[in-house]
Amino acid sequence: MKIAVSTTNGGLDDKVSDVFGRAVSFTIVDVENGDIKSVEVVRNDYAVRGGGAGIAVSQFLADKGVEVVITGNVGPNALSVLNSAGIKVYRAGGMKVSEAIERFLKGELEPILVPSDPKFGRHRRSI
Amino acid sequence: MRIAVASGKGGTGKTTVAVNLAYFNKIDLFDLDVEEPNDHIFFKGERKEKVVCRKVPKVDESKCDYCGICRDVCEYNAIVVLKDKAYTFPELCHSCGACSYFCPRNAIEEVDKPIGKIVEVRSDVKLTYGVLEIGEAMPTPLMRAVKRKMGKKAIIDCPPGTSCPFVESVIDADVCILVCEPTPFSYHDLKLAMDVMKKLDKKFGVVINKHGLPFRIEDKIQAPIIGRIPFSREIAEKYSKGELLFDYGEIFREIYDRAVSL
Repeated sequence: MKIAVSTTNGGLDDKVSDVFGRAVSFTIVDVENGDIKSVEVVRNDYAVRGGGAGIAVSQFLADKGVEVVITGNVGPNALSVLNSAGIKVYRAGGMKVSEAIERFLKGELEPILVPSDPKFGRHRRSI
Repeated sequence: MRIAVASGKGGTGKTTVAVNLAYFNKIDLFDLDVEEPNDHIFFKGERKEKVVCRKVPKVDESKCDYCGICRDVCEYNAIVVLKDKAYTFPELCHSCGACSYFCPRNAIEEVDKPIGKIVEVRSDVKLTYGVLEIGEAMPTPLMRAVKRKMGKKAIIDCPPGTSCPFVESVIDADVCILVCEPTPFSYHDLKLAMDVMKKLDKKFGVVINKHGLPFRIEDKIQAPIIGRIPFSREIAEKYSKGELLFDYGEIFREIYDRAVSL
């Protein structure tokens, strides 16, 4: 199962970023039977686009076969795409990535069912 | 001749100059500040309204095979194509038509999305203006629709700023009048507007509103000054009541004459 975590520098030691569409990178963790099989960090090139970053990122993650997203906040357009693609979304903003994965696997993370205000991430992109 | 009245900074007197220029020279007026049109406050009369739409894509899922070409050609992330679903975000769409053009299965139809309306008022002069729908991000398609009503002779009231809506409103004008007031703020933004004029290769002249305030803007402006509207309590009072400047017609006839001979 592929889990995409919104991050800054990326990797298991980074923190889950507060923003989704305009996160600097995504750390994509492949988990099988509770074990981490692989970790891939992809730069989010959509973060600097004018509009629709969340939509484009959601599309990208769906195409990559991601089944779970862990992030801080997610906007209405992105959440609607993620929902349509059957991707589950969980909240863990600020948590260490490795801890977030662990807690997700234990079923301890809160699912995100309600979007944040549009443009939440636009001016809050962490560096 | 089409004369655009612009400024850069908001609130310097574009509307004052535009409505009085139109009235005292008997020229049709076009209010292209579609986000906040208010020339109509000066001109009452019989109104005619028409809804304006732009084209946005609609996916016919019975024809779509989810190939994703439409999404790939969309510059604005306005289409999502998943394994078994394709849908659009009309508010992000710029109506370029690329998606339907490139769709190999002819599965995308372009449908009308209302973006506002055009209002025509028959008054002392004919006024035409646009009213942008709330939530619509782009004023330029509606502005273009209003401009299609424009003849060879027109006074154009432009939106403030120096970005797309400003450029759209001056681009078809033969000459521009930039309205400023003697303040450092207005001078700052006037310089930006003048830079755009030079980039667009437009002829322009400057009108100083509230002329008589102490800031010496006149010494700084490197452009022809084609009019001065005095700083006066009487003018401010008339404007505050939404009235035309009936005792100052000569000023606006002169500005017009100088503008056309720039």
